[in-house]
Formats: sequence, C-alpha cells, structure tokens
Amino acid sequence: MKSYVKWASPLLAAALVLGACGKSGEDQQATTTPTQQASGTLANADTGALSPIQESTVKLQEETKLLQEAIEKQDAEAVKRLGKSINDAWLAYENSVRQTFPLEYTEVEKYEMPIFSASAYDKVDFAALKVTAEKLQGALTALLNAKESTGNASELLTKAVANYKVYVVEQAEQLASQTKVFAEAVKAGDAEKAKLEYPKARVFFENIEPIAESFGDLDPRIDARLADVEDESEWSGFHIIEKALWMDNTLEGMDAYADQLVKDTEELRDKIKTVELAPDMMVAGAMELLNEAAISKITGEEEIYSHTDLVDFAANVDGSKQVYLAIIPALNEKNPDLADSLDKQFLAIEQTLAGHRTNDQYISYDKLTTDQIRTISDQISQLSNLMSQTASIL
Amino acid sequence: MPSLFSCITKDKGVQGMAIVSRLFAGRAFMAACAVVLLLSLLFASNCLPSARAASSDPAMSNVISITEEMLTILANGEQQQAVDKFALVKKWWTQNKSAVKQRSLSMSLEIDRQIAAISLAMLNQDSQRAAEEAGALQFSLRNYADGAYTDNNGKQQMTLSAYVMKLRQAADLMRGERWQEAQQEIKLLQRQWLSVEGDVVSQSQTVYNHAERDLVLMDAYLNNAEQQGQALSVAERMIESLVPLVDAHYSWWDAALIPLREGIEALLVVGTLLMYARKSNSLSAKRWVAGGASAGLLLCVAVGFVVAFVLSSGAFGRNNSLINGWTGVLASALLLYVSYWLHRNADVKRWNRFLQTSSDKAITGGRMISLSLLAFFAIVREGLETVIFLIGMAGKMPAGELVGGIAAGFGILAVCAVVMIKLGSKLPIRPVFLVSSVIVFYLTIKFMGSGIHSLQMAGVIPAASHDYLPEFSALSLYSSWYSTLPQLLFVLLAISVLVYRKFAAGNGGKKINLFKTNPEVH
Repeated sequence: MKSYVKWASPLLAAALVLGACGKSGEDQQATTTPTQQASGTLANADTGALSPIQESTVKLQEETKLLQEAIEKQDAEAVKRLGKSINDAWLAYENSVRQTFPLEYTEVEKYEMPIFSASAYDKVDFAALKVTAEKLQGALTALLNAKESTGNASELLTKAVANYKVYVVEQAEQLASQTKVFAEAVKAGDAEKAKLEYPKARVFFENIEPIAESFGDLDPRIDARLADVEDESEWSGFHIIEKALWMDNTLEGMDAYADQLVKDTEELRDKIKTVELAPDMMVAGAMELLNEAAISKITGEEEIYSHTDLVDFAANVDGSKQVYLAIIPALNEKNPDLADSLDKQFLAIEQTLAGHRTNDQYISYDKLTTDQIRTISDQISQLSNLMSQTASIL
Repeated sequence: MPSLFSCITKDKGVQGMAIVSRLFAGRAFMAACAVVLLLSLLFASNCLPSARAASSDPAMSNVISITEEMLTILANGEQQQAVDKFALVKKWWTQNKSAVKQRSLSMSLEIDRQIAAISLAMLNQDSQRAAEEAGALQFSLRNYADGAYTDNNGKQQMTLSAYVMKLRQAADLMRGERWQEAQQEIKLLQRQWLSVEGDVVSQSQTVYNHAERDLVLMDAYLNNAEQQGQALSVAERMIESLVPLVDAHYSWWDAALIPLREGIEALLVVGTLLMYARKSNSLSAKRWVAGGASAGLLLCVAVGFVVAFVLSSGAFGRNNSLINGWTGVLASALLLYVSYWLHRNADVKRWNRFLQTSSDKAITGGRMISLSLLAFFAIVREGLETVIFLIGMAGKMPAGELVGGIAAGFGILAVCAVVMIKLGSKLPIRPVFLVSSVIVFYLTIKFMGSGIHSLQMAGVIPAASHDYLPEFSALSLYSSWYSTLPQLLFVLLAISVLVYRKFAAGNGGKKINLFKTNPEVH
C-alpha cells in the first residue's frame, strides 16, 4: 500500500499542472508536424538527389517551357492543351507543396490558375499569358530552391498579413486605373464600351470589399445600391451608372458621377496604402467576402440592371481565396487538414463557376436555372463553414 | 516500504529539521494567500470600468422587431412576405455593419454569417432552415442590443440589468407558450449567469442561492410538457428578486464578504484536516494538506488570470459549473470518509491506542493523497467562484477599496483558521472530533447537493424537478431526485453505521473495523 505514495504524488502533481500545460503541449505537437512531413520530401544535399517535390517541379518547368514556346508561336490549340496538362501535373503534388513550402505554393498557385483558366476560354490572350507563364517559371524556380519555412505562429501570421497587404494594394491600384477606363467610356458616351469595362472594374472592388468598408462612407459612395440608400438624390457610384447603362439606356448626366467615381476609387487606393491590417481583420475579411457573395450576389440583387452578379460572386470568392492562400503557413501549423479541405472546396466552386462562362464572360445571372443557383449556394455555404474554422489560427 | 515523509518524523535525530519543515508547511499556505492578494491588486488596476454599449438606437429595436415578424411569417410559410422583411434586415445591416464591427468584430461576424445563411436558405426555399437561422439572428441582435457580447478589447459587456431584461423576455416567451424558445433562452441565461452572479452574491446570498436554483428549475419545468406552466412563476419570482439588486453600489465590505462567504466552507474542510494532522502529530499529513490547498489556490489564481485577460466570464461559464460540480461530488465522497473516521476516533482510548500503535505510520500513502486531494477540491470548489466574483466587482468600485476589502476578507478568514486550529488542538479529543465529524458530515451532504446541482447547470446531468421534494438551500437540498437521492443515501449510510456501532458496542464492546486504520491492512 505504501508504494501508492510513490506513484500517486507525481500523479497529483501532473493532474495539477495539466490545466496549465495542455495548451503548450498542443503547440509543440503542431510545430513538429510539418517537419515530419517535410523530411520525406526534401532533397538530400550530400548526394544531390532530388526530392519528390523537386522531381515534379522539374517536370512542371519542362511543361511550362513548352507552353511558353506555344505562346511564342501563337498556337492556341497547344496552349489550351498544355494549360490542362500543367494543371493536372500541379494538382498531382500541390498538397505536399502546400504543407512543406506554403509561401512558394501560394506563388505558384497565383500564376498557375490563370493559365489553366485560359485553357477553358474561347479566345487566348497571348500577351497576358506570356507574362503569366514567365512568372510561373519564376515561381517554380523559387520552389525548386525552396528551403523549409520556419517561424513561430505569430511570425507566420505577421508574414501572412504582409503578403495579403501586397495583394490588397495591388487590387486597389487596378481598381483605380480600370475605373478610369470605364469612366472615360461613360464620359465619351460610348455605352457599348462602358458595358464591357464595367464588370472588369467591379472585380477589383469585389475582391477587397471588406477592406473598402472600413473607410466610413467611401464604400457607400462607390458601391451603394438603390435599395441601400434612404434618399435617391444622394445615390452615387458604380450602380447609378449601371442603371443608366442597362435600364435607362442613356448616359446623360452621368459625367459627374463618373468623375466622382474616379476620385473616390483613387481616394480608396491612397487610403488602402496606409491601412494597418490586423490578422483577425484579415481572417474576418475572408468570411465577410463569402457572406457578401451569399447575401447579395447569388441572390441577383447586387447587379439588378446588368445581371453581372456572377462576376462579383467570383470576385468575392477569389478575394476570400487570397486570404486563404496567405494564411496557409499558419494553417499548416495549427490545422493542416483544414487547408486540404479548403483547397478542395475552392477548387469545386471555381470549377462550377468556370462552367458558367461563355465568350470569355460569366453568363448573365438571369440565365441561371434554379438548380444551378442551388448548386452554387450549397457550395458557397460549405465553403463558408470551412472558412469560419480558420479563426482557430488566431 | 516507508513513505518519504514518515522517514523524517520517525527519526528523532532530525526533529529540528522537522520543526523547520513544519514552519515551512504553514508558511506555504500563507504565502499562497499573499499571492492571491497581490494578484487581486493587479486585477483591480487593470479592470477599469468600461463604457456600456447597450444600444438604445431606434433602428436597432426596429430591426429586432422586423426579425421577429419575419420569424412569424416564416412559421406560417409565407415565403414572399418573408423575403420582403428580410430585405429590410439586409438594408439595416448594410448601413450598420461597420458600426457593429467597430464595437465587436466577433459580433459583426456572427450577424453577418447568420444573414448570409438566411439569404441562402430563402433562395433555396428552405423555410425551416431560414426560420432556424432567423431565430439565431434574432438572438444575436438582442444580445448586441443588450450588450451581451465581447467587445474588441475582449471585455464582456453584460450587466445585471441586461440580464434581468433577458429574463423578462424569456418570461414573455413562456406567457406566449413558446416553450422551446423559452427553454433556449433559459439555457443561454444559465451560461451567461457567471457574468452577473458576482453582482448578485455580493449583495445577497439568499437571492443568489435562489437564482441558481431557479435557473435549473426553469430548465427542468420547460423540459417537461406537464410542468411547463410552472416555469413562468419561477421566472417571475427570479426577476422580482433580482430587480432590487440592479445598479447597486459597492463598498469595501461587499468585497470583504465575498472571500468570507465563499471561503468559510473551504476553511472548515482545510482547518479540520490541519487540526487532525496536528492531533496525530503527523508533519507529513500537514504538508500534504497544505500542499493540496496551495495547489488549489494557485489554480484559482491562474484561472482568474485566464478569465480576466483571455476569456470573458461568459465564455468560462460552463467550465465553472463543471469544475464546481465535479469537485463538489468528489470532495463529498472523501468527506464522508473523513466524517466517519473522525467520529470513530472520538473515543479517547481508541485515539491514544491509534497514536501509540501507529504514531508515525498512522497516515499511509493513500490517505495522504486523499487528504491532499480533499484540500485541493475544497479550495478549488469555492476559490474559482471567489476569483471570478472579484473580477466582476473590479470595474464597479475604486481599486483601493476593492483591495482593502479583499485583504480584510482574507484576513478574517486567516484569523478564523488560526483560532480554529489552535482551539482544536488545545481542547480535548472527544468534543473536538465529535463536533468536527458532524460539521464535516454537514459539508458532505451540502457538497453533494450543490455538486450535482452544478452538474445540472452544466448540462452533464439532466435537470428534473419533483415538486414533492423539499428545498433547503443551507443544506443544498434541491427538489430533484438526482441530487436528493445520493444525499439520502449518505444519511442512511451514516445512520446505519451509527446504529450498527452502538449495537456492536452494546454486544460485548467488540471493535468493528469497517474501515481499518491500521497500516498493515492496507
């Protein structure tokens, strides 16, 4: 019986510290996971042998080389075929890349996606693809030489925010310049051109909408819908011109609104440059974008005159995906399974959306059938359920 | 194999060392008390009163009533009308989202997610789902209006007046015979109770006891179709008792009363154990008791830190009920044994023989652990609540008064402890042991009742109410078989042991060794 005391006292002590130490124990376990996964994939420096990731990357670079040649020759058939095969090759090993080299993964993903999308489009924009393919080569070279990323959770988050900030600033700049092109068409009275430029400018706003919302009345000035304003005389921004273009069929009186819109988007661009993003704001933003898509886009209420709601919907999803891409290193630390599921779900919804394109444009919202809307809304709902779990990395 | 500590007492040559250790054991306890005081000072200086965000904004109450109408319409299955109402909700959200976000990012995300879910459900003509989500939205909106949320600085905004208001709303649901919704409200109020109970207990122990009982009782009534009608009167009496406590002002004495009220039971347990250790001249027993008690204190302080700086007390709510419940039940089982043991050894002859035959080995390893655990449970059981109450008070009175009050409370407790132990060791064995065995048995019954009750609050044990059972809060007697049955069993067990011993003593005075104290047997 007395031996009881021997084991019981450490037991008691253990029980007492259990509450305090449970958390740190978890963290330790989490930090060892990527290392274990990486050990199998890293190159052996002594023998010069390539790791599986490097082998696949070398192959992908060869494919990309072929693609670049096809682009030079303006061979649309070959570009489309290679776009598909590059995507297949990338899908085959992207999971291990995401877990081992999250930062490099994000770079490759950024340039690989448009190349794959191009394979589905009717027309091939060789000039744009040429730049993208070069950047993909660069990203692949970086991946080939990548060292395993290290860093504690808060460093990873800080880095994620910095990466995401670069994206947000870029979108804001493009918003301002694309809005200018749109405004010029409006002021020139060229309704056809304005209708073409309108959705292009909208994309950049919808990509970063939650950030834009943080600057007081700038968001309503740019993006208010008729349903949101108390007094129609105070209505301004994209949607009043949308109404003029698609409903009233006259651009009369729109010059002033076009000028104001340019000023407002430039103000937004300048404010965004100086904005300080916090990790919780960024992660919340990813959720808000998906919610936005569910609240006003998939219902057809965002673009009631132009019916370009799918453009905005896709832009919301894409903006949300950028946050996901930025936080992959942090997700790998805390919840690598979640990264896998999110990746699959983004892919699924992107594929569905890609099926709703004709003539290189998203089809009009009123062309969607009830079943198609249901499919999209189910997918966005699943995606937002997954995305809401990312708060665990904070 | 000799136990680690009994080696020290066994060897007379190291008696000097033993005295030093004994001093140390006492000091450790005092040191832990000092740490508690110091930390409460820290809390006080950090928890400045935060602005109350309860919104009296007409647009807010408007959107709440629109959501309510939408719920009714959805229940009637009128899709199109619901969509129209929902458009108004969405409009409100577009206009107010950034304001909500600035107060509380988490609240804004919660509302945003619910609106998105309603939107999708309506789009897919899923009225049931839309109604569920609309119910959740209505809840969130009311929580926001009431200030029942955690703001961007991590502060819980719940106030007792908001709590009473929510209770009134629950009562309204009962009046409307919307039992299921009422039960949901009550379950939420159970979780939110921890945010306000400090306000209540500091003003009236009776109101506090009744409120805790009523929260479980309402849940039980609402759960049972035949008793639903009785829930309303419980809600009404709870509201009536809480209303006078709203907007109270605190003095240092209120702060002092918290450790006094909460600590007295823990003091009785730890005091009895220390006295017993003294009587049996076992330094190791004393050290184990002091060790368990100090560990308990440290845990309470650690949890206090977590609640003050990481979680809101609302978020900790269920954990507190769980800890309170399990420690209560476990401590009760251990106390039952202590009570029996004290009673049995109240016989002077027996006690002396016990000391002679087994002086140093009297307290074996297993019993050491029990003593230590018991001290630990007794402290944790009430200590956690004390810490959380004090955190709740911190914003509501000047820091100096709060610290002074806490110091006074713990000071009085410490004096009581010293007097109790000194007195206990001076007085003769028999009365001391008999009285303390009765006190300990009283605590056994009480801990079991309140432990089960807490587990009911936490949802581990189903809440059920049987009106024919008596209620008596001083004994933690609740009208539920779940808590009353084990209490009854304990009483029956005690009576049968007493009778059996009396009977056996009368029959030739044979010694009955139901629970052997001789170490050889273990």
